[in-house]
Amino acid sequence: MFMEAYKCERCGAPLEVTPETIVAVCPYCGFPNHITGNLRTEDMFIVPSMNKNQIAEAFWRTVERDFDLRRIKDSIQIVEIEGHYAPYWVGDVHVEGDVEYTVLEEECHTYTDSEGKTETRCHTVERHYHDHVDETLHLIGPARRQVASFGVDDIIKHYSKTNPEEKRLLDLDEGQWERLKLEILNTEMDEEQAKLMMREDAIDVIRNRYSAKADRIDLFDVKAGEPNYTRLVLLPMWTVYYKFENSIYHSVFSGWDGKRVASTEPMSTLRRAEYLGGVVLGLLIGAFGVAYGAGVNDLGIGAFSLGIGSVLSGYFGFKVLEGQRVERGG
Amino acid sequence: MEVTCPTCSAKFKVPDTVEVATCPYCGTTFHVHTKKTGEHFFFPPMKKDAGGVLLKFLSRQYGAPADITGARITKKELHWVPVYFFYLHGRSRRWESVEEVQFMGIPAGSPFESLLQGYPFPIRGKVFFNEDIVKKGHYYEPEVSREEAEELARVALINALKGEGSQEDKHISEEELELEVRYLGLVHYPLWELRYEYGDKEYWGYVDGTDGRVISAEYPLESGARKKATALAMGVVGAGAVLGVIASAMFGTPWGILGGVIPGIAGAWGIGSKGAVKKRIVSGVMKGRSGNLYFQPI
Repeated sequence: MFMEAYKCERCGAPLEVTPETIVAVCPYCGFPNHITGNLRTEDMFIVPSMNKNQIAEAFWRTVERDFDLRRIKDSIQIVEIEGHYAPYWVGDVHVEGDVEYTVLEEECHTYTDSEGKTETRCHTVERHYHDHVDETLHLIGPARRQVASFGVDDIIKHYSKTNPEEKRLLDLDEGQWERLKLEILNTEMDEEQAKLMMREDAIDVIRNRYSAKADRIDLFDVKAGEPNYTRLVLLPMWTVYYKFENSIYHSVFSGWDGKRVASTEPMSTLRRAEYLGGVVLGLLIGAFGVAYGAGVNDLGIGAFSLGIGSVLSGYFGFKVLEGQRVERGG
Repeated sequence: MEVTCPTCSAKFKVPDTVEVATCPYCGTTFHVHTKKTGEHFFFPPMKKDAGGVLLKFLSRQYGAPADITGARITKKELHWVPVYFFYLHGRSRRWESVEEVQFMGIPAGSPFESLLQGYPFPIRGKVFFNEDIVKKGHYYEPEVSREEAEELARVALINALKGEGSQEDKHISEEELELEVRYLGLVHYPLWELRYEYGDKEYWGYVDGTDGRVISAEYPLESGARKKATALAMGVVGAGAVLGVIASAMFGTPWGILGGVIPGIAGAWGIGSKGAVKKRIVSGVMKGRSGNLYFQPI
């Protein structure tokens, strides 16, 4: 059917595409085949990934360094390691314009009258600001709608922090591709759509910035230029699923440097014990507070202790069995 | 060979073997030979087994029993859900900074409408509708007309633009808006409905038929953890009672028992609310990104 019609321009291998596919990277030789839509294959880059074994090693190194995981190292077992390259559009947008905004501030003055009494009066004042915006935003966004529900934002953050080396996809030969190949998720947005959204989002970024700090925006006249240096970058992301005491947790690693960017971890016994201690504290306050209150005939003390004790105990009870916690940034 | 787009007359090249092509300039999908455009599509279903995909996903969830992959699938039905696809682009003629671009899928009928509300449907990958798929699953006709769906999309776009305007403390009137609601067609989207049996109880799950993403599913919590939770909760109530008796004895009043037991019950309730639940609902889908931002600054 429609799936069979396209072949790789370089090696002739069949490609799995639909008429709407923008670009199909040949799974055998890594050649980017442009199918439809607006995209230049010379602007496609890849951040080469480590392989599965290296990710497994990176995982164990992270376990060694992690305060909580180190203690349970011997009971941890890797269940599965999965990786893929996901496409992101990257580009620069220059924004320029003027913003006038008002911030309400509380201003207090201390007055001293003739009798030497001091009095402090406060009132709200409006402060007006005028900013000239003139900057270039580096933007990044997934080139597809469906992204993993955990770790994508962390990968993006890590990418911008580490600025890894990118290779032009067209420059890779079959041998190089063989060493770094991995499943590539489909690109669903072409360059034209990406540019349109980038421009529009660049304004949104500036607007969000001012709307967060201003009480009122009096003038917002900011324009975004055409996006520059737009390119499609394939970023490798790995997920390591590991097992501890019958439950599965996962850690997300960046494929270029094997850094853990986000992770779910089992709650350690120490932390559980702390929470259980909180529950017991609640019980003690309740029991002794109420008994003391009844003993001295003070209803207030009794009721107060009962309330505090119950809240403490309930709150920490809720925490004791929290099975996993999320760790970000490694 | 070179083909001409029936919508915008642009010329572009496609491989000779191809029968259907999508115009790189205006996005119209058409038959190369007949020039038929058509507005009815479907997404080709994945080859993977939906039951296996669901159980594998669930086995990786926190607290799920390790042997859940061995659960028995009792129901596996493919549904073809009608969805109208739109490309939305709107801006204010008065304020250049107010602009919004979105892709939107609006479910148009079937019992799964609410499940798929706001679902991030893939933008590309659809192919011309083919009657054969009707036989392969439960097929739903759209209950909402294209015009009604278009109106919903338009309202969503207007609200997004007004939202941007109100952030700038500007009132945006509908008259000043320039709206483009481009209809991309009616798409029948594959959705797997599954039931599985684990420990004599039945649980449900829904899987995206194009790529195996779990849209929503419930799973039982491992019973060992539950037993521990129950024991711990009872222990806390017991400890409360014991401390209460001690306190009562010390102050010579029976009220201390109550003072110990009530916080004990509160603690047990806290523990139970986490540990004694029998099942949980999960999703492998991230719905809409935060705010109106798609691209973020780095």
